[in-house]
Amino acid sequence: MLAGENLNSEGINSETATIRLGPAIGTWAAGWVLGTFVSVSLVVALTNTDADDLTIAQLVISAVSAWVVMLLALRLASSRFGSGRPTADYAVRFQPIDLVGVPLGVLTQLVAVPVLYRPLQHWWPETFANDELEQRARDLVDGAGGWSTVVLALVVVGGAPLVEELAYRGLLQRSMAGLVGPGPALVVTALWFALIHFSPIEIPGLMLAGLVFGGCVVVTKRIGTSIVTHAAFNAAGLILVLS
Amino acid sequence: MVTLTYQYSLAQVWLDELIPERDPHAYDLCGRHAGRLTAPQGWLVRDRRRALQPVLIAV
Repeated sequence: MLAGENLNSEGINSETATIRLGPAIGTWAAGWVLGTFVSVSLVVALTNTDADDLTIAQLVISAVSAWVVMLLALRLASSRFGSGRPTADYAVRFQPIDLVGVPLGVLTQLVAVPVLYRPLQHWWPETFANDELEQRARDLVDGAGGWSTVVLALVVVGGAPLVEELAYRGLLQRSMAGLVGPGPALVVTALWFALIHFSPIEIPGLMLAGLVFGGCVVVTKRIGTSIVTHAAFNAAGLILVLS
Repeated sequence: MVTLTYQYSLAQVWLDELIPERDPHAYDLCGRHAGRLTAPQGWLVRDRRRALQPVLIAV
């Protein structure tokens, strides 16, 4: 053990991941590319349509299949490159204090994102109009009603925060922190997280959200708070667009 | 002015800002009628006019 190394009760360094950056990037890339391929293939095969305009059923098929592939990739990476214990390798631990993520996520959605976009809307009012920024969220809920709203909530507030925080904060950010330090890892991962959503006008807001989620990991050394914060952020957005 | 569209299969009605293009499946309403609009039982009315703030969902 190195002097000053911060080991937890499982003998794992809680500051950084046990999986090095190279395998971590490879794991994320494999999970993302294969997950996207499987999800698009399944949606096309099962619903005989393209994936441009997803119904709730298609969204569930698409999201769950991509998550399964990413989770399998994370499990495999833990076995091959980590300790073999995914909860330790990705710092999956929850504590009651993680509930602070609820107001943090809601405030990020209701206050921080609008404040960030205000100058952008002043300079480029057409590009960053609220209607444009709401479009993707609105597309998600347009097909929802009754039971499908519950399913949509499970996808948006349950599954997505869990899998994305495992992949981006638990794997990438913590692996990167081992090489370049927590600050640069936080910024690079937040940018990565924003870019991969492939929505240019959302990049500033998602980067900010990524900084908040990643900041939780920097402070707590685990992803429990970031999962709760991400879930609260999405829940607030879902409620706003449904109301 | 408001443009109303609907879809039977989803049992939903959407109200948007007036769409400049002519579309036989869309119906233009004045603001007063749009405000008093009710949908059949079991249908949802989604008013998508004038988003008050940016909304992001990270999925």
